[in-house]
Amino acid sequence: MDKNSLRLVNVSSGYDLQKVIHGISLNIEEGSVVGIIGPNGHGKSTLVKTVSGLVSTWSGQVFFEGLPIEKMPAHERVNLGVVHVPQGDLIFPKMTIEENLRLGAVLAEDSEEVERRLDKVFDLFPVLLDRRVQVARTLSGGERRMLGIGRGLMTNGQLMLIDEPSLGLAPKLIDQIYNSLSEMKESGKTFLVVEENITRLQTLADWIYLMDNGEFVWNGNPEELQSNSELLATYLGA
Amino acid sequence: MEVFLQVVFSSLTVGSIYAVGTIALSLLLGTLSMLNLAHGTFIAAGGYSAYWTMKVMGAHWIFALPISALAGVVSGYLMYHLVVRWLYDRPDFEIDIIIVTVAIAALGENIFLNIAGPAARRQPFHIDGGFNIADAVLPYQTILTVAITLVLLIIVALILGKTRTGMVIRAVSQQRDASKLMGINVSKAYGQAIIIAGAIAAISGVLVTGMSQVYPGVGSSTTLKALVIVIIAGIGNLPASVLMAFLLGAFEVTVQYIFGARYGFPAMLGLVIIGLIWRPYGLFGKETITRV
Amino acid sequence: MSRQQNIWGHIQRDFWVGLSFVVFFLILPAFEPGKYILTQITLFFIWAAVVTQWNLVFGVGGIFSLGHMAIFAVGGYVMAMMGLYNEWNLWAAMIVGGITAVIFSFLMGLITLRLRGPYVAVMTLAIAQVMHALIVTDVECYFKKDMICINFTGGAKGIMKFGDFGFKEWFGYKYVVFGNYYLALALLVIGSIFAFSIMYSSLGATFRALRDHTICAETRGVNRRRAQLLLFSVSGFFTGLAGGVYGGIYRTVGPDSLTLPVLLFLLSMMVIGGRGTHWGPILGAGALMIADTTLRGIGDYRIAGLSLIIILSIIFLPRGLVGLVYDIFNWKPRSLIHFHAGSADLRKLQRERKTKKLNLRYTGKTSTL
Repeated sequence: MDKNSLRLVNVSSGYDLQKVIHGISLNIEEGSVVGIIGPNGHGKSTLVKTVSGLVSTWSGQVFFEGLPIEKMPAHERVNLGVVHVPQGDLIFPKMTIEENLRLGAVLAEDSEEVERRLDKVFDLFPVLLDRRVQVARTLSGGERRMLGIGRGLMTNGQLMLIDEPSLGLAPKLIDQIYNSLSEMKESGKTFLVVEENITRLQTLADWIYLMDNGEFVWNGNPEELQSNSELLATYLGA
Repeated sequence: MEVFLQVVFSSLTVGSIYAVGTIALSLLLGTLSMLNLAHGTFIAAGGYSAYWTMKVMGAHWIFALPISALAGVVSGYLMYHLVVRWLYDRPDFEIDIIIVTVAIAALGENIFLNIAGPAARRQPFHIDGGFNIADAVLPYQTILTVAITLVLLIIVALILGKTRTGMVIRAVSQQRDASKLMGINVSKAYGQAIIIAGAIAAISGVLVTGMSQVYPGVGSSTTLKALVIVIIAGIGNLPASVLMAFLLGAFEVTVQYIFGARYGFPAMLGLVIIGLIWRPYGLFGKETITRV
Repeated sequence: MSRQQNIWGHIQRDFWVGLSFVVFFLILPAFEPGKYILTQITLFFIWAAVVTQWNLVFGVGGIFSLGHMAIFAVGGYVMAMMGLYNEWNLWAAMIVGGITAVIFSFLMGLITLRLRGPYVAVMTLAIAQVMHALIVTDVECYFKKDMICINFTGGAKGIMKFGDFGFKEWFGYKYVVFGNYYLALALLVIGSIFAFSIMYSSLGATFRALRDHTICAETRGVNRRRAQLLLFSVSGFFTGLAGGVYGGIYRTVGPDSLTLPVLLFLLSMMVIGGRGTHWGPILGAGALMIADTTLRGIGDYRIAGLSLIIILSIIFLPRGLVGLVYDIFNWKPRSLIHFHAGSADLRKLQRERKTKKLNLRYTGKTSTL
């Protein structure tokens, strides 16, 4: 039984004629949090989309809980338990918060279970409860982020792919988001988090990969990253 | 006075045909950005099915609408399964679908021509006569058409608002990628929307042919006018399309009354053009802001 | 190979292909293929010329007009009317027809180009339909010539007896066919040179940028509407001329060009040739004229056949025959070549990163990466 939740073997992909990711290999143990960092525009989001299926895999294999999924369309991967919280949130603008959340579990059969999940999301993000009938496009950046993550929780998959949770948010909101991510980690889910903001990620992640030009150039645990100032300077302008 | 009343009644009649013809079109355009130039094929399918049900099979009129709806469902399914399914995910979809539906419309008309022949027939699902008010006549058929238009509008609103399928379709129309991430099969959603539109268009076809006649080309003339109306009303706004249908119908009838039949549609088009210069997104439409 | 060298190579290739094409068709009549074949080829030249302009506007310019035949008709009708009512020399009248077509295109562009792409299709289609309806329902007698009632627009029958190009007088009856042939060929060649020039010019690059990255290009100050209006208007000249040539050759100008079967025929040429490509229109026109000529007996199923060609092409052969040819020879189809320019920029950016210029943000294709 593969104790890896997610395994990538030599995966390459891209858009139209442009190859963006070159031969990426990666293992994520069930229940752990893996972070991917690196300069913008180098393929981090593309990698996540390749795992979730929004981008087709050009070559290589993707295994989820031992099952090869690289040829599966995105919506089928969701049914297996792969949940992608996309960069930019991609909320349904004309629907209310509650409708957005319910859409996260739109294909679930058990309505009681759906209500339970909804309650859990409102516990985690009380702001969403307050504004449950507000139309999504009127929400602020932080609220959208919470909505996006909440919606992902509604889908309740084992693997959570989160793309840039702190993007465009003020520090206090980032605190809030990362607190909720820590809480979610307690529940035993597996996480793959893409971030530009290394500081927060270091406290959450068990292992970190550094991506540059569509390839992994380094990986290690957060402490190693902290002490490696040359790495930080070259790739992250810190 | 009687002339005025007759013009009003004629406007209602013409407007109701246009109105019922816009619903399915507006639905597909608004939810899937799909400009269906083969809308007329559904209309013809509905008209011919009703004719076949009542005239050829001799069935009671109560079967006409359900069987037409079924014909619409089948046509919609075929269109999705044979054609749209391959195109919906392409970046050029909006323009591809226009070209393809032009071809499907021509093909459909050709099929009806070959099966049923070019002769125009009377639609048996039809109420003769009307209210006589001060020497002007308000046909019962007109009232029937208006009534069914409203019923169809309500049905669409219920489907989109209250059913899971409707929610899925709305989700796909607002955010396609996110929908996939919710486990939604976007291709299937397209199929469902087209089938629903097909059924509605077929029913409207029964009513449209009730006012004119059943012939192979009945779809194309209705479609172009319906398209123009939907565009000036504003994309995706069904009630606005119905309203504009009546307003423009009234305008067309008035022009025809004053200047002659051939100037009706040109004048309507002219008015629409002026309207579009003023408001390029339609009178009740919204400029959609795409993410940069 | 730098991008500049790349393009120059393509221009050279196109030039030689074009030259061979012209030379071939110049000397073809010497082999005496017969009047029927020559007439069919003449028709091929005319339709190819029209589709070349339509493809320029539709495939390159991104103006999804389905009313292109309205411009063709305007050119023909103005020429015929000047010939009939004002008794002008037909050559002069043809030029006037072309100029009127430019004005008409300009107006049509003003009206429709404010709309989002697909809605242009509906409005232009409606304009063409209205034109057809108005002509066909024109039953009043404008004046009587030799006791025959003549409608102002010619009505459903069309306008006839407006003069001709003079080939009969100059060369004799036998050589009228050749006169028409070379005239149509000249039309195609001149129109194509215009089209290719546009495609290779900075205007062409502008349109590709607009098509592939509309919002990005527009925020960088590229004025979509002005560019499209210009293109639409000028290409209207050659389309109007084609209408005149067609009318002059067949000695009739009628509303048939505005009907659905003709639209379908030309649309299938553009689609199966390859939208937005350089040689697509000519390839497509050739393929369909050959099919149409050889499958004469099909009649009833012509429409069904054309529809199927369009549907199957769009689904299975989206880049048309040109795309197929390029795939076979492993070249990249022309419309995708300039996409490479975008990825070359991306690579350049990645190289710059390695030399530690870290503050660059690639804003071309935003959130997809």
